[in-house]
Amino acid sequence: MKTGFIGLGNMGAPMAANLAAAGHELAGFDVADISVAGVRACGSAAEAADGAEVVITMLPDGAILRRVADEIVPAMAPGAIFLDCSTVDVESARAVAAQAEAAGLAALDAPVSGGIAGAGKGTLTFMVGGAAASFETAGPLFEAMGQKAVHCGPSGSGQAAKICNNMILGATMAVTCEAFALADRLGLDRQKLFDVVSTSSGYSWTMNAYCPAPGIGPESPADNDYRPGFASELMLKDLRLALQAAIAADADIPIGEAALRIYEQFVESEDGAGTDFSALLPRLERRARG
Amino acid sequence: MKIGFVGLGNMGAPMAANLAAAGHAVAGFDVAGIRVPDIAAADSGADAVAGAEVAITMLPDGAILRRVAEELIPAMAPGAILLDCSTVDVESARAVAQQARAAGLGALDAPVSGGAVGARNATLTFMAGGDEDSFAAAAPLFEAMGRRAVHCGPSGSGQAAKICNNMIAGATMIATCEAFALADRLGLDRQSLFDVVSTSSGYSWTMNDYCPAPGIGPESPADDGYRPGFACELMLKDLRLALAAADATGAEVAMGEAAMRVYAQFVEEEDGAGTDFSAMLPRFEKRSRSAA
Repeated sequence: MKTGFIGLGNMGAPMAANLAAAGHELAGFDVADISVAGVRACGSAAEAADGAEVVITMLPDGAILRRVADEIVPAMAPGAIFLDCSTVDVESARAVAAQAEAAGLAALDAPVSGGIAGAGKGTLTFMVGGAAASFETAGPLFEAMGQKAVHCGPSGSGQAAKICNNMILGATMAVTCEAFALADRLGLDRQKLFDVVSTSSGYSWTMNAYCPAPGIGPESPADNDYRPGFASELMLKDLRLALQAAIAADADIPIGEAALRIYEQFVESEDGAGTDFSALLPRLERRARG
Repeated sequence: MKIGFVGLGNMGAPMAANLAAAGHAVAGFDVAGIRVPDIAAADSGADAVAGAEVAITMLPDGAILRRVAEELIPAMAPGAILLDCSTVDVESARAVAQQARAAGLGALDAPVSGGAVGARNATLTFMAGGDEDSFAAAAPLFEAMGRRAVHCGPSGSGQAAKICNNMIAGATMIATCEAFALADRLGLDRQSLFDVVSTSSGYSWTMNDYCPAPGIGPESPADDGYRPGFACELMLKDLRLALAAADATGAEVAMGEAAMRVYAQFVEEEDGAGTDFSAMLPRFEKRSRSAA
């Protein structure tokens, strides 16, 4: 498929490379002038989008997405699909989709999970909002970049599913780390806590698949000095998107906010930036109740 | 085995009945004068445990456990085991175990999960703290009353494991309910949210096995008008025990505290008492941020 790719950072570059490797015809652009093997380098976003059947964007936030959309929507061929894989606020996702649709284009919001490793290996999961027909058309692209794509509903649903999932994830990680640190102080062995919780009503992906305690459970960033993985500042970004959505929708999310405050303090007032989001456990080991 | 059982409430009565059904000789006592078929009714706690190889207690809290232990321990035969299945604070569990050992008894703290249904169906899980020998000796009793017993370490470890587990479950339940209510307001279908989260990094027992949204996932209290199940006030009790343990040891549990405050408000200032702890979802559905 003739594909334009805008935003060739840590995520975008390997995604574009995987598309090219799968035989798609890629034209790419990044403001930082990054070139990717197998991807034709363009001088502007509009040039990358020109004549493409699908234009993929992978950008840092909603404001940048809106600016890029202003540039590329007029350059896109009628009937082409604007496929945004960035993680952005639900309102920006919907606004950009409406803008694309008004210009005779189709639009999908399809944020991913799986991180840089998943982008490299082509094992991302896509949570997708938009029309079912566009979702089907983009099927081969999802297949080339990932291992799973879930159609969640109309425009914005992909972003909504991602922030809801990651709000649960952030809260679950924070409380699981608290439980390990509390167990330490109560003299309860970490392996015993894992054995009980991972098979009881406290089980979760955090405990069972990504255990924050080194040497316990399957291999995770905790076994690699808490190198990400999924960085604390990205979790903070997603928790802020959840809060932004909750404020706009008048939803009460006290536990999501409690998790946000913890990651905010860890990333912005302490040394959490650049560590995996499971590094809350060593943080709590060092901290006394204040 | 010859067993004395003290505390024959919603949990204790079916547990004692399952022991009797498995062929153990059970004498029971409850301050409320409760009688259980096939259980010899004793006149006092001391009477129930006199001559028993194992004395089991199933009581509401640590203060009551300490009082009952004062009465039982002098009445127990040397070498017998005091097996407390109540959910109490770690300090009370350790104090009672120490008192029992000083009197030449074995001691286990073995709080359960599985609720009244698990007690009835003998499908409880026991999280046990205490010495290996006592744990091994009590194994046939765990088998008669439940499906699984995990030895977690020395005295107090059973209580510690339970409150750590339930602190995680409480916070995860609220976060999951918040996510469903937020999804509603964002126009994201609940089944789609379930499909994504239950197979992604947000999965949990709460989402996958005990989904708080009616009609989604396996059958749960949400499909039965939020009848417990595991009642909100019991989750509140466990979160308070976690907080008490954190206070006593200087641990920071900001998420656990936030979860405790939400359940305290729901149970004590709103209409949460008597509902399942997953009834947080209809609560968040009705609740707006601006009115919070």
